[in-house]
Amino acid sequence: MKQTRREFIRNTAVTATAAAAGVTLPGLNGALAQEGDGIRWDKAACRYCGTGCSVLIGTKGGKVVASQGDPDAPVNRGLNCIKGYFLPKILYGKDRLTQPLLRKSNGKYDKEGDFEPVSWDEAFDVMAAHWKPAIKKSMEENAGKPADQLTSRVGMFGSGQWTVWEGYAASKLMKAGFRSNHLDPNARHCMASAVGAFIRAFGIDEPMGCYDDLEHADVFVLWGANMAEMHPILWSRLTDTRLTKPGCEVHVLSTYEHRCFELADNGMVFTPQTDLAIGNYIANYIIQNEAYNKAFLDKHVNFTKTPTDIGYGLRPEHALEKAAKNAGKGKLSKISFDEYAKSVEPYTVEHASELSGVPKDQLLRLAKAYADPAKKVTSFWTMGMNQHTRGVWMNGLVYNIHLLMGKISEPGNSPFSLTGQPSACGTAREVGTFCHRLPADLVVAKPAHRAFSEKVWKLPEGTLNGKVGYHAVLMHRMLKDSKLNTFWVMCNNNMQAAANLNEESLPGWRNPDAFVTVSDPYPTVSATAADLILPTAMWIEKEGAYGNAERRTQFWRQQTSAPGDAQSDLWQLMEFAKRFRIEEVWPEELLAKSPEYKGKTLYEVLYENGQVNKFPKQQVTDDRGNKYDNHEMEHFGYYPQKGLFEEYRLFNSAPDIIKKGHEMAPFEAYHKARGLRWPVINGKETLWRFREGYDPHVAKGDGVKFYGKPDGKANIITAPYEPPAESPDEDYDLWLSTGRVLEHWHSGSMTQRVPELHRAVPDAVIFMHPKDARKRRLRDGAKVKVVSRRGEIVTRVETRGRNRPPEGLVFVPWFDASRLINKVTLDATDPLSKETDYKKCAVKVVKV
Amino acid sequence: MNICGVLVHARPENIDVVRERLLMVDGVEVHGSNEDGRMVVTLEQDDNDRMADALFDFQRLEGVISASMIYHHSEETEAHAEEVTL
Amino acid sequence: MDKVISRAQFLRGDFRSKRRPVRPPGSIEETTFISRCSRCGDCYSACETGVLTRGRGGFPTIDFSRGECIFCTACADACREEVITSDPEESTPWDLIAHIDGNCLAKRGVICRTCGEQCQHGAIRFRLAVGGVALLQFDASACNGCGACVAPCPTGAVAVRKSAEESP
Repeated sequence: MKQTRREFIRNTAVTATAAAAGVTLPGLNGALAQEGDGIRWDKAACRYCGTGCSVLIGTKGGKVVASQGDPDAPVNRGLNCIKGYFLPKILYGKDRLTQPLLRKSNGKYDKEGDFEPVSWDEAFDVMAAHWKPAIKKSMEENAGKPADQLTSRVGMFGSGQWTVWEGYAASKLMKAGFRSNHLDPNARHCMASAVGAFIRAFGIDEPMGCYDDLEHADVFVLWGANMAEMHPILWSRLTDTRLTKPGCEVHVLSTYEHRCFELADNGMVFTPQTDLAIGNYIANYIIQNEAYNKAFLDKHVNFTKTPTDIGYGLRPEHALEKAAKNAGKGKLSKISFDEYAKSVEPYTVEHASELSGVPKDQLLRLAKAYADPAKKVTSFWTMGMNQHTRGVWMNGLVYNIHLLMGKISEPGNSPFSLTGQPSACGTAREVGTFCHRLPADLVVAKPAHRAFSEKVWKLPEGTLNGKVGYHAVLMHRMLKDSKLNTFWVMCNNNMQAAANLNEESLPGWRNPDAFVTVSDPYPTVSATAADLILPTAMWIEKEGAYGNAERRTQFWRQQTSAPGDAQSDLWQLMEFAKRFRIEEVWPEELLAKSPEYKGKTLYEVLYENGQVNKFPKQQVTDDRGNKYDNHEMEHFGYYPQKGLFEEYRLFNSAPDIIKKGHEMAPFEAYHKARGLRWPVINGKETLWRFREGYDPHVAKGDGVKFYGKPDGKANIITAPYEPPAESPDEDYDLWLSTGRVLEHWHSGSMTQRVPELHRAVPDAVIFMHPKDARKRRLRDGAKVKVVSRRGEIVTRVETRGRNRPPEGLVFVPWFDASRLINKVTLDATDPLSKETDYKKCAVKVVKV
Repeated sequence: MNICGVLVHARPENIDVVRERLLMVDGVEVHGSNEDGRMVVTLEQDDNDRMADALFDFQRLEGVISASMIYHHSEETEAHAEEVTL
Repeated sequence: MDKVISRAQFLRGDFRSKRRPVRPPGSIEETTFISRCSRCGDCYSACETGVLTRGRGGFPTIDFSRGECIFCTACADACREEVITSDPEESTPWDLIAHIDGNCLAKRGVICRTCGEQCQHGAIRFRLAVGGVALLQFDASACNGCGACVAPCPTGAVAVRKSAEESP
């Protein structure tokens, strides 16, 4: 077919627009980005947030030269946010690390020395020389102990930005290889409360609905999510529905006004922590007005209560922990409907309004929207609800509302927990990188789950450690206390991200008893606080897979090579395993059960096990015949990504699996699709779980079945309002909330290196109410100190712009490495999920 | 050469009128639509600003809920007629 | 076209006065300005935001890539030659406004609202719209030409020029 270039471009424009509009036009080919000009185009999942947009990557001469929103992507339909627009530039920051760097003096490793370039061999030698004695000591300490009491001195902090197989390989290395459960992802700071609530209410992780709810709902309620900035593509779909669907309304709850309030029909600013009271008020309203769905409750719901007065996840010697009656407890006990109704009775509209500061009529309007049986309601939340000392409770209170009404698991009726990282779901949660988890929702504490995992991994019985490991916040405390001696941080910037860095993180990392390795593409705050830095291949410099917030697993091929000696996390994990003989990590009595492993390396036992190395080297191509490199395949001599993914499928898709519901398609299927939402059964994805007709796991005639629980019923869990760990007082008179901005992602380690984004938002400012500024004689742009009991930073005042806090609250974004707001924040956590509350502590603001 | 793909959203009952009005603008072609009023439109203009103005005018056409640019191609060269093989 | 251009402009080939430097608000007519200004630098040393800098030939010039003008008159107060003045009778009118060209990301379907965040006068607003991104709406009558929107624009799509001037 011949056509002029103009016609060709016009067709491209039509195709892209039709895809965005969801309009099907006859006679159009699917090709969108122009192949030609020597540019090879291929799809990839965006590197940033949990939305999971697809972008098209144009490569020429081995370099990424162009990108655009992927018109064929069901998530973003060709749209892009500003971060996504400049995405390929993250690969080409000027200070990209290209060789390992070790702290040295006089040619030798020295914790107090300066960074010097070293070879990979030297880097791994020094690293192993620290890990081996720590493991030896752990083995001595564990002599004679049963499997559920094993401790370890080695740990790793991973990421919801790891590719699926990197997280899986890490999980296997730490849990099976080193027998340490001290592996936790940065998703602990992000999604742990959501996970806790999913397991408590439904027995299975991740949302039942999907992004299609954005078009099906009549009412949207945002509980602590600034989607306009943090999930801009989803927000554009939500805006679309609001502006075109008659009667559609948007309710926004937040502790300060942000961009979502522009679209809000009912925008509510509440006092921090009082969302607990609002959630309970809505349930009370539904019960008082007998609006609940009785048939649904009878068939599909159990009523339970959770222990109260559970503390704030601080160090045990902290006064608040000592005072708590049930510190850390979460065991549910059954109650009746009447007992439940009685528990929410105190939450009248007056009481909720008084606690929260939200006018009664606004609360009433919100309650009515939920209680109207004719309206489909989708609730969204992210960090406002998860980073909360009662995050698990609060997630549960929203499920309570949806369950009371039966508004769940069907198009438009969806309680929906959004994610902040590209693979918080796919990697952090699904492959078992949490300190209590194993792949596919299995947990280390259950002997049957360990036994199953040992069988899949071909390990001798009793290999896996049954004691829950250190979670993210505890890791830093244990480094400081010299109980954790080697620490490997991959694919995240936890020195900047973790709360209370002055008192816990930095003293922990710089403890002379600790050896800290950071793998990163850039010299981040974390990398420069480490003892050894390993240069990392990022994103499309390797073959990868991410899983987004709607259970969609997406793959991409390696598009370009990493600079210098940089290597992917997968390569690093597998190569490091070669440094250990199995005798150095497993005790004799364990090895005696599998004598065939004697004399082998950890690499051979874990990765050359006949499963991971099952698929021979091959040329990677797309369906148009374009060829792609795969560096790891070249290096190891087999297809490790495929082998790891297929082994992982033995946990979620094999006939003998313990927990159904996580089924995935074979490896190759994902390279062809724009992602698939699990469970994938017979090649078909699942849009809404737990409901007949949508979810193949629900048998005909069952209607709804919450099959994550043995009796098929979900839990309504009552939980009261309890005050936060720290509130403003005379000395520290303001609430501090932290968060993100549209232009930067997380700690800014990538986006701050994109000149255009840095230019758009160069520094983190402190957003405050004009009256608060006036009271302190501060004008816009004035230099101020933000001071808490733990630390201080200097920044500039902003009383206008995108965020408008109420009087008494200030907001500071955390992307800025030169203004580390986590020196100021409190490391109080949800005692159940161990997730830090970054959204509330007490500070004062003084003029510099 | 400037070619852009624009998604024009009209109230479904107005779709025919809107199509007529759009076609009165220079360089506009309407390629199709669906039942909820979304129309696939291309706009060709040689001048960047006139392009932006035309887009802005779309917004104000009676019966249009919104118009948004989805795809934009802009280049300086004159080689538009050059053939490409697909 | 009946238009006077300076010799310097002529030599630079700048026939449409496009590259004419922006003088601080309160500056007197350009040719007199050039002849009377002693190039002492007091004005840009006094500038609170640093937007006023030493330009071509040593004359004070506003460079919006360095920041915004807050119309504080510090430069006029510092000027000994009175080529910058707070007297509206003496000075040329400040008829500059922002011009946003086709490189604008929002106009190209990318979610970006950076300039709108900077505008404190309501001249640049974003209207939420169906099917894509919030649409940029520019109200020339509200724009005071402060230039706060210029530097942050990630694609360099914003320039501050005379209000009557055509976009390039």
